Amino acid sequence: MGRLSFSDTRHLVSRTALGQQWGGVKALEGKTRAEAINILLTPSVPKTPAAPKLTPWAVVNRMSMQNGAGKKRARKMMLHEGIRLKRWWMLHLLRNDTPVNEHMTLFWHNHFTSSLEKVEQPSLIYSQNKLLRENALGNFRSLIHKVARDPAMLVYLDGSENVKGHPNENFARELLELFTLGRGHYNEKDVKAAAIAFTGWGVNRNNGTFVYDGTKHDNRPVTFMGRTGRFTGDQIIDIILEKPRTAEYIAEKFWKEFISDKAPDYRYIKNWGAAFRKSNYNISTLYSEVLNSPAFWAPNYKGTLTKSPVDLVVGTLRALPFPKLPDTELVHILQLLGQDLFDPPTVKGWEGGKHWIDTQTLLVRTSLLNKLTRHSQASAKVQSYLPKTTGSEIVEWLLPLAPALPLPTTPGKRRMVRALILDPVFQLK
Amino acid sequence: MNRRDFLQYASLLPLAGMTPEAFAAKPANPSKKIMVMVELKGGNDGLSTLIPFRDGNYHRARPTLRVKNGIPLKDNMAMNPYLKKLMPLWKEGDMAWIQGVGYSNPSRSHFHSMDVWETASTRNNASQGWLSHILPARQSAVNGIVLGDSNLGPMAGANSSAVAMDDPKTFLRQTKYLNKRGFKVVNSSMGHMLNVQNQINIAAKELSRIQNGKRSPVRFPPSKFGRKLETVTKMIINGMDTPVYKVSLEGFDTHAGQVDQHNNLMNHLGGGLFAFSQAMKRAGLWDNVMVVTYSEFGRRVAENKSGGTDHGSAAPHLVLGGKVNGGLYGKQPSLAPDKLHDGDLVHTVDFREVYATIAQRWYRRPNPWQKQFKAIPFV
Repeated sequence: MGRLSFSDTRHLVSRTALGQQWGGVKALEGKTRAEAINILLTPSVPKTPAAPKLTPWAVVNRMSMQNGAGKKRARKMMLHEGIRLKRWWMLHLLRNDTPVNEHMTLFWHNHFTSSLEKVEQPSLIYSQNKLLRENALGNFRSLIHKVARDPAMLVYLDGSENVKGHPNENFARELLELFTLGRGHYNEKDVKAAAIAFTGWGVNRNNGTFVYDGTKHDNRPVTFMGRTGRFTGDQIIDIILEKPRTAEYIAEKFWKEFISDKAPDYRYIKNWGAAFRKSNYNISTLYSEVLNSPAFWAPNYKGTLTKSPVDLVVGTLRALPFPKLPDTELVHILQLLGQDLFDPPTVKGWEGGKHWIDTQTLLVRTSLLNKLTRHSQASAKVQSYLPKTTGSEIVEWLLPLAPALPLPTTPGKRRMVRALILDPVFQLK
Repeated sequence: MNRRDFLQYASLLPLAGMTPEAFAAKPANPSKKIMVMVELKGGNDGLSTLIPFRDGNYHRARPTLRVKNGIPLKDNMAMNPYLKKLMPLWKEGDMAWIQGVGYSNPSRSHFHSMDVWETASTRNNASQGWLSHILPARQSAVNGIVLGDSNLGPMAGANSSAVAMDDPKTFLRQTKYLNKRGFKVVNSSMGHMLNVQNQINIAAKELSRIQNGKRSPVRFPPSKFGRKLETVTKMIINGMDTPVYKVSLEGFDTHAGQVDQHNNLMNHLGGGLFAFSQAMKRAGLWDNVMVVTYSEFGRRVAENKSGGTDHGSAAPHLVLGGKVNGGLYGKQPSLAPDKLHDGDLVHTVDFREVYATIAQRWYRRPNPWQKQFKAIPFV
């Protein structure tokens, strides 16, 4: 296996990190694939910055229980704090020095979705985000057991309403359909059985922690995936993890995130799934299989993924020192671009891929990039920051494929960078 | 999505050095079917719109809000008196009411229930608008225009070929910054991007042509809603090749002081839609258009203590058009206290039956829900 060229390295970095920072790309150039991937997948321990000021749930509850006016006030406060939390993540996305881990945090947010819109408690969403970040490249088995106990998840999918005599199947259904096996690999009876096993799992509304209430647990024997017994929720998860399909389902999601929108080649999925299971669900093992596979490097997949709004906004601002827009504005831009952090549109998360671009978002994308790259005194900073290298290397750095539109004929670095950023190919990675 | 923010983002500096490439204007095709969707934002109180005026339960549930001077249509149902301008359309058989429209386990959240109506999915798992399952994506024309909203709603989706705008003028300003040149497509993501770019540019091209087009001689009410319908009229009579238009009327979330507010809205709705029908008749296009209302939910049967009503469930919807088979369809849900579900009407028509009708009987397209939901012969 040869050494990575500049273009290979930028492909690797732009798909795994948050944008392609010049230093990050250059640092891996000349390494072998395996070395570069190994470096990317062993980042320093990710830090979750302290939460912005968020009112504890108990206080919110007391407020909203007082009277109608209190309820209104509490709701308004939560809305406000929700925006504060979105700004907090936006700033962390821009500033963190573990972009590969952060990219995976966003990946898991899109997998184990929860929304402020439903959960309403920013403090719970903060804790969930921390959990996802700390386990982003860790172990999937341990992550999913933790997610099942996560207070935000227990509210989001009504797990806390799931009690003996009144089963609520929402969490059990999504656990099977969206988190592990996917449609067609379980039946309605399995959903009902799993829901019964999870009865009694809830949240303490005074301190926002997980509680198990044995009196609300329905201990009757159920048949789940062909096995009969008095199962706990944890045992249900372990049965699901025994199925090869679970590992393959996650492998398929990796295919879509890192390789292509097109249907995966099943041979890859089978191999990756097997390796994932063999490692007892080590996420880095799966990730490493994906990045080391010929599919990841296949020329026909390069430059075919549409940048997500986070890729576009955060990636561009991390790569080039354009005048920073206020974080509130950046949060708004992500909403307009269809990726409202902490508020995915459905329990399936963001559809992604080419769906990122429609008649609304293309106009916003274009206007944003225009605004960022327009000539001003502040943008002169970009000029001095640009690496001292050839024009063709700048093109290779910023675009995954050859530009679709002609480049300016008048010389000038800033003009060139602007043209590259406004080129349709800049929307791809 | 916040309208103001969107506008802010789309009114930035123009892109220097981009020369617009001419897109051939498509010839008008007046034989095509057009639907104008009217969203009644906030949840319209169906019981004050199409009124079961002979039902004792109605009068008991609505001691202060009941509408006493409704215009009787038939079968013990009367129309809100502020819709009286539409009476000629009822008499001509161009007005249909579909009663009791809703869905099972209704959501009382504005956001979630509108999502259900827009995606035609009652589970929170779809993000494509329902019309993108009905109308095939187009390369050379737009399928839909949403006016006065930045949200594509029922036409959301990567392949829906729809554009949303506050008004054509603003849209034209926004699209100035978009690349106008074609480019070489080397993969399907680029193909999609070019397609979307073309759709915006085609819409812009068409709209700038129509800016200077003829105006209908019919006078529209000088309200925001009236102006939107006038804009739609201008697009239709100047031959814009677009099968769906969507406008909305806001203010139906009448939790308090409902009577005046709702009467006022009915007046806007009736006046605007009557002017629209007249304009279409003058242009000889009344048989080509159908107006359909929708709303996230109706309101609770019992009035609240603030002279208003809270979020409820099923409600009637209005359909107008030259080809519409006038009359009352579906069944008015019972208001008997023991027939209510948790104080709410139980729907008798699933909203997807209305959509199925639009698909099959209006656009002559397959009904995507045919296993569960059949068309209704209102058109």
